[in-house]
Amino acid sequence: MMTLIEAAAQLRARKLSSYELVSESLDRIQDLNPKLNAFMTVTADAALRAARRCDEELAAGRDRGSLHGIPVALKDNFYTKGVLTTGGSKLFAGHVPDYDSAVAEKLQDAGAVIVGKTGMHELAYGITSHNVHFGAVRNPHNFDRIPGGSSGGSGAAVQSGMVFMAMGSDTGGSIRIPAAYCGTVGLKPTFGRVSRYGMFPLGYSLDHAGPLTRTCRDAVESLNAIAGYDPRDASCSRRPVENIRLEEPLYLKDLKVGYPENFFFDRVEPAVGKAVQQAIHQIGELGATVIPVKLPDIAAINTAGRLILLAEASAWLEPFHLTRRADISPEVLALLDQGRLVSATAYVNAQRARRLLAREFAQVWKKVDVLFTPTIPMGAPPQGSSTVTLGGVEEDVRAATTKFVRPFNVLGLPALSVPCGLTEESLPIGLQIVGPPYGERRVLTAGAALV
Amino acid sequence: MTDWKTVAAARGLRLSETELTKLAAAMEALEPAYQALVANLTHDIEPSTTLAEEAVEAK
Repeated sequence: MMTLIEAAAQLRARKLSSYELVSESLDRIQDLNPKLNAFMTVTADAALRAARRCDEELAAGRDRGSLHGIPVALKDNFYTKGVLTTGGSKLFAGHVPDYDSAVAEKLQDAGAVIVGKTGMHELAYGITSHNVHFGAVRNPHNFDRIPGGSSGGSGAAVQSGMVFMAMGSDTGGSIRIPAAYCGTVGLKPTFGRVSRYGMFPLGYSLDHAGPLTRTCRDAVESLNAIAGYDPRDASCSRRPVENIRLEEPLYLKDLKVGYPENFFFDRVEPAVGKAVQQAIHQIGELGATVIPVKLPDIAAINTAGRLILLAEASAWLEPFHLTRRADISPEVLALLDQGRLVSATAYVNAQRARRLLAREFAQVWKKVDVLFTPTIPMGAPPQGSSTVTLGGVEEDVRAATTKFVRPFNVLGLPALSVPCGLTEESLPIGLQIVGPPYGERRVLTAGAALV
Repeated sequence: MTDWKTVAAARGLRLSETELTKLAAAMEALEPAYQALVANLTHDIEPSTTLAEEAVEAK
């Protein structure tokens, strides 16, 4: 399957046109979507018109960059002007925004062709993408398995070759989880690196936007297009954006890779532990230095994250929570009910603990440049399963799926998931690579060395 | 131990007994983790929602 960068090269060599690429993308969606339910809305006519414009621009010598003429998709929580944007919720079933999200604007400015909106977990509040209102998204590797979520449609769309890149949002792992379960690359950038203007919120201080792609170099091109300060997002960083270019060949000799001694390998499926250990060995063979590191209390970081998310999600959904209960699934309602019981004291204390834990975690970056961990302790669970057994202990599927990824939403750190092998059931395994704030280049360099 | 069923009613949640029991159990499960989380907080630690910038400075 061609990568985004390869498609961009073909476009510039006039071996392919954007119209052809977008037509192929639309054909593939038509063929596969009845099985995968990856797309909620397909904007075929507008996409083909945009592709024609892209071809005309390239012919006239106007090149907007790597994404020019490339078919992409947006999770259905990014506002798109004149196009249905539901957030995967019945509450917003007929919602057609009259403006574009910052991400949609930036992608279109970069010449990307948006072919549609991808399916997601209701309100981005869950990890299965089994949406009771719009149907379950299926995992392209195995239709009986969940694709992960909440950006499950984006993961399925990229993995199955429907598009070269699809945008996701990540509040407690929602980009990295479908990336790991579907076998794609997924990048959650540093908090504030990408504007969330025009994106349905879930947890204001935890929400991130980022791309799912087939390779790390494709993720680099996508990030370059969408990163940057936006005064319309109150949490957006003013720090200047680096236009990332990865060396060829990659230089890994000075890279110090941290290998967590605690938490991340405590209870994982054996094949997952083995695959991640192999990736750590491999990066060492490629020239990096591998250093064992003891991390601060990750379980405490997760507790803070859960409390903050419960409260923040219930805060913004308060206008609907009590009055439109019939339009919200029991699963999401249960979380909103919990959030309503989190006291102001508990919320503020969780944010105070977050500051303390972030301060402790910052010490890690004095020893290493990046951390390698499993993204998720197991392969994609069967649709409908609620528990999983890891190391002889029965765990809730949602808690098990999020326990390695949520900490980096709380800490706001850049975190990447890359495919690193298969489980005994032939399901994809994800390797998570985490870096210091604004360390996207390091994270993507390490990822590109392996994928 | 907090009486979560009473708190739920006070916060305007009109739930069935089954739903209330589930909700109370979920909140009870969070309580010990919360207590452990805040046990070492000193008065000078302020809440923060701009963690990335702060973490850079902490280096």
